[in-house]
Amino acid sequence: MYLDPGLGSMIIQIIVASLATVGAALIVMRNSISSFFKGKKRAGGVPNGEPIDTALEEESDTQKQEQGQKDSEK
Amino acid sequence: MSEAQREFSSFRDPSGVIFLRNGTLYRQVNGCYQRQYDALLQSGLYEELVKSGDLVRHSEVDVPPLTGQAYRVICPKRVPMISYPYEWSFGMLQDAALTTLRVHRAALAKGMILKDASAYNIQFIRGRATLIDTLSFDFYRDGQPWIAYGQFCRHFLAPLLLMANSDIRLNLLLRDWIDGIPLDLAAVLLNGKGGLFAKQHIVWHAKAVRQHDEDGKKSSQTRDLKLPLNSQIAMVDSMIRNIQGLRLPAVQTEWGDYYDHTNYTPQAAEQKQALVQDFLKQSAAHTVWDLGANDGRFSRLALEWGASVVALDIDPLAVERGYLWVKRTHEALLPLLCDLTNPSPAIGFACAERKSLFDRQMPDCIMALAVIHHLAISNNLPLPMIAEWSASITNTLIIEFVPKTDSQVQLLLKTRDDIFPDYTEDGFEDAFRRYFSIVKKEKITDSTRILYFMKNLQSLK
Repeated sequence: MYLDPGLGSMIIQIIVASLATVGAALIVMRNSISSFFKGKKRAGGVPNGEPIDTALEEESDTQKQEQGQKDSEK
Repeated sequence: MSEAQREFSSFRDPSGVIFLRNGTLYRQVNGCYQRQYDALLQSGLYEELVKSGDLVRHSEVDVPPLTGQAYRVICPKRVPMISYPYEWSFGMLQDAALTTLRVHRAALAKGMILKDASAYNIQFIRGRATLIDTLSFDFYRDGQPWIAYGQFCRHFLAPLLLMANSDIRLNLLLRDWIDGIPLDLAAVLLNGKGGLFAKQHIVWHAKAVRQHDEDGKKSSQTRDLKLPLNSQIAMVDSMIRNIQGLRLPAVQTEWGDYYDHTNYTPQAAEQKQALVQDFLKQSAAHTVWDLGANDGRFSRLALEWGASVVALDIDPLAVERGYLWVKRTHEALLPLLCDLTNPSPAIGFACAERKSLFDRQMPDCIMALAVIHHLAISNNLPLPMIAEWSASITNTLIIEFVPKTDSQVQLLLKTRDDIFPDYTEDGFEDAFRRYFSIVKKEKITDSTRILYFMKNLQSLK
């Protein structure tokens, strides 16, 4: 270590890093909560308990076909 | 083989030393750094960082070392023109900071750290902020906080936050404080601005430094402090996010809309461009400096002839626009902030640690388009002095004379006495003929301006 890290800088770093850790945990929690509700919303729209992945694939296939029609009309 | 010459600035870190031999730059890796150097290469960190463009590539060479302590001698890819943080625009400093943090983050993932966070270790190669100090890595010791955190805040965060929140010109403070802006000064200048990010890393940091740095000298507490790795990573990630989010306030500087208010008709602008291209071709220059380059519009003409170009301008927003362009195109152009009447001096220990602007490169050609009136009239610089200075730094000169009849000069003379009887076409030519041979002289259509191509008399001997 050829730099003097400075005791003050080390102490504040520990405080700031602890805050960042809490912040990062909150972000992860917020993301998982929002994806949970988003997932529920989507799952609610899938008829007869069809697997969500299949439903999403079909949805995107329909979108592709619609886009294809629009393109051919141009 | 000629004698090796040690690079003066290479004295802080005992891990190695930079030297020049036969005009080639080498870095000696000392024996005390052998384990770290091998780990950098063997862990795959070197290859990963070089591939991403964050670290300069090097090759190991069989060249006699500078001293007897050598483990290896490496030859890094040469940076065409070294620049310093007080010459960078906001975006350049921001990208340099992000490169530093990305490198430290990648090092942590391989059980290493970036042991220093000096802004001088970052250089711009074709618009890419690149770490040039291959010996900046060390091993991560379990629970060890980042030892370069304080330096990172002084070198990067303080100037960035000041530029974004107080004044865009405040990066010039780095010229006075070679190891970064003191945090207590930055805290005062921020005056409460910058939000929680500035509070944590600058204001509270400054307080902690004031309160505890003396304690550190009395005990070995610094070495005992522990920070879990995941917390350090969370801090680095948070700093990356916050730095990415920093923006300049919408300010309009003097030259911000320069190209909307020039004295050229479209035909004149086209002719000027063609003339500059022709003169550049004749100069056959490998290195070109464009003085008063604004966003580097004319500087780019030199790129067509394969030259490496430095675009110097006094306006921080013009330099920023130039940088954002190069960042996209990866051209061999380096926009830098420079007041020609007060260019970067040599600073640091023995006034030699960081070189003056003119000690870093001798350009083959200088372009000075629509800048002479600012030097001669706005700054009272006598034409013979400008000519002598130009001759001392270049062999070929592309220079535009803007006479007193030009509306831009009229504007400059509106608020002051005309004490410039020699500022005429003849006076200009007389001054420059003492040092240069005028190879070509062309009037620019629909304007009163004249473009000259000159060769230094010394180079013609």
